[in-house]
Amino acid sequence: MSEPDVIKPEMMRSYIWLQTADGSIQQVEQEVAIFCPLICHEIHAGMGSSKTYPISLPARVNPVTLSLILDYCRFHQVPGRSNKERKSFDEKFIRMDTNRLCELTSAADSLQLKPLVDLTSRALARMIEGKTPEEIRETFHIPDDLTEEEKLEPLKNITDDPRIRLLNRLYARKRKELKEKEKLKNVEVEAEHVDDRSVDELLSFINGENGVKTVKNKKKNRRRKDQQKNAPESNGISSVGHDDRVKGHCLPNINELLKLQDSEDDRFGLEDEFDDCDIGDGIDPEIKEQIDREVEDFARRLNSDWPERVQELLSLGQERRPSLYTVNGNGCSARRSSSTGVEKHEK
Amino acid sequence: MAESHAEVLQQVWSRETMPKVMKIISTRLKLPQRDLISLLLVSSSLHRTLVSSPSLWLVLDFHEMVNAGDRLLAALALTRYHHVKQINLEFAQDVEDKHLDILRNQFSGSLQNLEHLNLNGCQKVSDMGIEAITATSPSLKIFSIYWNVRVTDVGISYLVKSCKHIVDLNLSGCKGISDKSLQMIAENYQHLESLDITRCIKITDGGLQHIMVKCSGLKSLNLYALSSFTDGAYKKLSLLGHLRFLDLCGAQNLSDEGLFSIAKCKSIRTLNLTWCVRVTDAGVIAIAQGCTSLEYLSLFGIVGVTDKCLEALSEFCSNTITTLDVNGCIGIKKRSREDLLQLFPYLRCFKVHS
Repeated sequence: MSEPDVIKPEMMRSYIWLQTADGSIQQVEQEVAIFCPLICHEIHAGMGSSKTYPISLPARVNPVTLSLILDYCRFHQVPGRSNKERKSFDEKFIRMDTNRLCELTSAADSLQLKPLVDLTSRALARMIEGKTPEEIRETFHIPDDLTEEEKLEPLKNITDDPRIRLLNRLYARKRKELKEKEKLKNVEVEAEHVDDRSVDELLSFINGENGVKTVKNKKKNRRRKDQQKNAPESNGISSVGHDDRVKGHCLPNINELLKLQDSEDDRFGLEDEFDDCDIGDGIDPEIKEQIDREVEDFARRLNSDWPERVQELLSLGQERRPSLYTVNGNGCSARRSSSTGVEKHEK
Repeated sequence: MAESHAEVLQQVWSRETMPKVMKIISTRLKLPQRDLISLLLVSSSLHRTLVSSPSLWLVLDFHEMVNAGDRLLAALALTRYHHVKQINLEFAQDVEDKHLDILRNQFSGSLQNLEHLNLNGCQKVSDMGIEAITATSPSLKIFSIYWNVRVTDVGISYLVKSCKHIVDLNLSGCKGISDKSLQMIAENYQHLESLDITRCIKITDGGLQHIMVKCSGLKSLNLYALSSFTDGAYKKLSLLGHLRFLDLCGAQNLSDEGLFSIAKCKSIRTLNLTWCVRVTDAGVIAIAQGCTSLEYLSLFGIVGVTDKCLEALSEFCSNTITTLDVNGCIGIKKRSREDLLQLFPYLRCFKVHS
């Protein structure tokens, strides 16, 4: 039960009387109680002003959850608080055992206290996220009483997630690439170009940025018969460099660039991706998070290298065998934006 | 044998409290499909409670899944999906014309409310598949089928015949589409709000002009990597008074004249002029003066613009610009991060083209 603050004689606080389903009655400061829409309605209907006419709360609200709800209301009804303060309070507030969190959700819902319902719902959703039905049962202490028919759910999750396969393949490829880079600094630019794009594409794909232009630009085919197509396109790139050197500046030939991207678009590569890697038996959420972070970091690093690669590509005419790590070897100042790294604009 | 108090409590918990709570959570938040299905398989009471909440079953998401075609059919056979509004098959595997055919023959009742269909990357689907799915989805508003080279003008003709309410159409990468399709789209979808024809290289000025004349409500137009248009078409962009998003990346024929017309689209927020190599200060200054709500601008690779255009942009749009890409703009001398922040105090993103 809440202790009333010192009452200033010049400013009488009013109190509201609330009754829970077990019969117990308590007294609450009015400004705290009216934060709950349901209680607010009851007050306007004339209820709760005395101990003999308390507001009867819905059955789902027991004394314990009521106390929690009132703590929440007491904090948030104060107008002067900053968003940061409120967020900090919320984060600490929801730290309670699962059962209590569920009861709190139910109680707050019956009192129509939407912000609290959202807060607890999000916390519970995080607990459910990625769990199997069995794990959910364990977390929330629910017995398995499904009928055979109910178990035949056609949308059941199977661990055939192609993302996981792509991820594995991505890591394998990147490891290989790094090894090769160590050996050959002067590798053929075309091959390097092609490799990077495929990895970049995979990354964007995995990160779900399917709508973003970088993916469309860099789709790549793996089919062997189209290997020959690569040769003329890569010649196209070298000839770009050559022409530019002749012209004395390094404007890209847009058609060549777009055509290169174009022809690669024609090829459908995804099927070939899923051949040769092991699928894990579902991924542990913590490892998954770690992988997500690594992939994100990885994407950032790759993408920040890309403009330099373009410049290197275009400056092919300057040197026969360019070292790929020469910066601005051709005098074209493509200024790289610092520290903002990858900030993709999303439509 | 009488049930103990504990058992009763447990029953109340699992049969009443938990279903109620899970229903609250899933109706208030957009739980991912995967979690929703997991909840269905937790207990019988949970199953019953969730299945009887129709708002939970309006979306079918099979993106990137294998056997998506078969799974879609299995799902639509369930009553809870009979009012599905959105189907996502983006990069799903094993979606073929035959699945769409079966949808039309057996499940047409379930698709009457379908508003949003995503077939992005479903490369096995052809004009015949489109015929089948559009025939059963009269309410379709959003249709997306990017990176499909089998779709031709014939497929679009089926779309316009059966689906009269399209407002958002994504045909990015559908290289089989020609001017004919744009003409059909223009004639049938005068309330079109968003059109993406990225890389539809068969399209010429003529096709595009149909759109600009008829679809005056267009808010978003994506012409990425279409380099054969000329000012003849670009000048008509001034007809699209509601345009907010315009992507002209690679528009190598776009001149300042074209930009003078585009500057008349006062509501433009996003403008991508990456590789529009004929553009000079004059054009960008016109944009600055006309599109004063500009938030996102890329001048990537344009060597003909100088500091003058940045000054103009700063004069007219400094309050709104948050993204500005001037990488490769060697004509602009002062374009370090600090220089740009001086001109555009709200600038957050300095690179969009990579």
